[in-house]
Amino acid sequence: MKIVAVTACPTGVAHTYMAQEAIEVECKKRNHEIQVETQGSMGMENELEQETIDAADVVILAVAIGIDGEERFEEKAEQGKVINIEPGDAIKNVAKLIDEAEKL
Amino acid sequence: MLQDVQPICEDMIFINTSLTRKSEALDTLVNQALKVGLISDSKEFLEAVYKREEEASTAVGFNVAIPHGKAKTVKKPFIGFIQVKDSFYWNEDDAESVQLIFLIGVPSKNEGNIHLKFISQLSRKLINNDFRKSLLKATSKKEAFKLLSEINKEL
Repeated sequence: MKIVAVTACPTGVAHTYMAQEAIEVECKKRNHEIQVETQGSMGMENELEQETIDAADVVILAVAIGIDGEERFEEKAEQGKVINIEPGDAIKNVAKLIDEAEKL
Repeated sequence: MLQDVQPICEDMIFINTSLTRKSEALDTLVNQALKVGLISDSKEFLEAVYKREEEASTAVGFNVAIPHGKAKTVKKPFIGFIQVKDSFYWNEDDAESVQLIFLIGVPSKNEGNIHLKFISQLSRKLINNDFRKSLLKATSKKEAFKLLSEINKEL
């Protein structure tokens, strides 16, 4: 599967990056292609191009704040291919999150 | 040089402590941060930390809590670390007990610098089982400092 994700939290120092790591590790373990964009204290990193998003099977938005470029995911949302989750929950329950992504 | 670059120092590391609650852990780290000159006002910083705590628990699972605060009184980004002897519940209504506590402080205005890079890399590394196990096993400040400093090599 191809999965893309965005992680962001209010202070942007810890959860953003822990969620990124948790999602990347779990996806790699299951041989899914994964790219995680982070919007944290380091600014936007690993930015997702529209093409990459369009080609993805599932979008995970592990965000607790408004993010930049949210409109990039509108089409995927209309198709019911977007999972919204709190970054903290993504860290704690990452296996469950990817299970859910696989079922979409 | 290295000392200046990395946001963690041995003075901000506490090993094998017998703390049993969040407030004790935060007081210990914040008082020490004041003592070593990382912050200029402990009250102001604590307020920022508790405000963040109210938004959502910073106990992130795997026995780890990462309380953090962004405030003007923080002079440069830093990390403090406490390893406790017996794990305790971070919040009363939490299902998460913690044994590794990282306090992160960042100035209000300080984006995209090397210290923050370090903190983001450390956060990522905490997902790694072996890294956490090593931190739990550390028996001295020096040993913990060495483990935490390894992140510098990855930057």
